[in-house]
Amino acid sequence: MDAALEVTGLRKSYKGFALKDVSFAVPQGTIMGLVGPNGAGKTTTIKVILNLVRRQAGTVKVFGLDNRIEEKAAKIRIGFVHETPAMIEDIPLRDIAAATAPFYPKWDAQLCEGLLREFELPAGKKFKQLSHGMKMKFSLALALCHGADLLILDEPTSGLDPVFRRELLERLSAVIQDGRKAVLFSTHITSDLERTADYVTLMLNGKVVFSSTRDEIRDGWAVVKGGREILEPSRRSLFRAVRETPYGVEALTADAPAARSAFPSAVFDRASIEEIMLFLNPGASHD
Amino acid sequence: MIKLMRRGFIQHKKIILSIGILGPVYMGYFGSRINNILLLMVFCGFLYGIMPLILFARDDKFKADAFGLSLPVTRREYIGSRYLLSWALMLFLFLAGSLLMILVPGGKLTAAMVFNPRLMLITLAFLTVNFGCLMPLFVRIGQVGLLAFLIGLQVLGVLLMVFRNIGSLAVVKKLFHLIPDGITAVQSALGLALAFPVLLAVLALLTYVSFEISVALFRRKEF
Repeated sequence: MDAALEVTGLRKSYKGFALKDVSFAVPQGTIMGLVGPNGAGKTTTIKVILNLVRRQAGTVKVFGLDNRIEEKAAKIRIGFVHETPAMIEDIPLRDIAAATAPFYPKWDAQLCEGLLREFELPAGKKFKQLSHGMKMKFSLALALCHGADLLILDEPTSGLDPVFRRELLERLSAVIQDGRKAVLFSTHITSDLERTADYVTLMLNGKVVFSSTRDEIRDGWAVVKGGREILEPSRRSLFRAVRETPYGVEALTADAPAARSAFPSAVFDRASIEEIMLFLNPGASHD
Repeated sequence: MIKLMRRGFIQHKKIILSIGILGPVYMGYFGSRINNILLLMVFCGFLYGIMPLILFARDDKFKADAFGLSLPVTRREYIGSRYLLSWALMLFLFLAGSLLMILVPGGKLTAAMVFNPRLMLITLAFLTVNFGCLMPLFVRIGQVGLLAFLIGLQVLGVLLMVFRNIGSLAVVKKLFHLIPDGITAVQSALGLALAFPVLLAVLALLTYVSFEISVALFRRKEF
């Protein structure tokens, strides 16, 4: 499968935070969830993809187009939804759409009108009169109107009611049906991923912990429960993180088959993405 | 670039219309009452140069640049469209304001005075220098910074008045006379027919330098 988005070796430093060699690829026809606790580097990564922040190193390719050298050609294929959509607030939605349309040769005015109706967004309403959820819907409508080949959504489900949240996720699934388009969305709501994402990239403290299919995560990652004997030094390397409980030890492994043969009598639980996040970043806050 | 200008016009059309009507009316009235023509030129250059920044301050206020830059545009085009839109607005204000100055009943200025090529050039020069300095500053420090800078200038003006006995006002006067004196010198050296296009080219070059500085500063900004 060709990649819709290829991110390689991204580095970006701020005071007290850095992206460290962030690399992942979103194949065409798939949805990737970029997950991690607040401050993990998801938004910064997305901003680098859109050239909204500068990077110290690394490359970003959108359908093979370098996002710095062929910036316009790359961006024309991207539909972007910001985590806090910000536009000129005192103008009506129809004006925002009219100002945006000329930038995209594939802009579909009828589809735009239809989406505004479907999302119950009156075209004459001013942007400032919308709630956060409605702003999100409007941003999404704009991104869908120009037939973007790559949708990038930063925390799109935060602030949405459960009904529209589910609708949004279903819509994302519909977008990729032709096998050529792709979706990258960041979230810290792990249940969204379990419902929709084909690939999951977990970020913690500016680093990619893994970027895998959901099946690979299900088959590879597990929580091993047992007595302290499972922590013997020769096999300690099987675990990525360990926590002690009143009843024994729980350890996270990224190689469940090897751990199963090493500890045949231990109890194995499937590691959910949330569980992995909690193990690897116990102090983090997330839903 | 045209698409970006169109977008700018749609997004700020109410403000553009307000400025486009109130600006010339105000200048028309102000111009019809003033005796010192050089002061009028300086004031025109200052006022018209600030007007376009009101539009871009709105982008800053609403944090709309992140969405603007997610569109298929480069930062160079983004800034380029701001310069073009600004100059379109400023030239309109300049022409409409000048016209109203002579149309206001009871005004002291005649068409020959207002549309004197030398005076027009001086106004354009003040406008170019003012806008050429303010725009990069605005790109670098945004609307709040620019406001602070303008308040700082006001304070400086008051201080100059307070300390005028030590010759501070004479220094400022000299500074303001630099432009008309320079234009006079070029005119004497080249003659009016040649001086006019040469000076316009110099103003265009100044605007280009200002544009390049703004682009360089804008490239460093993160959204």
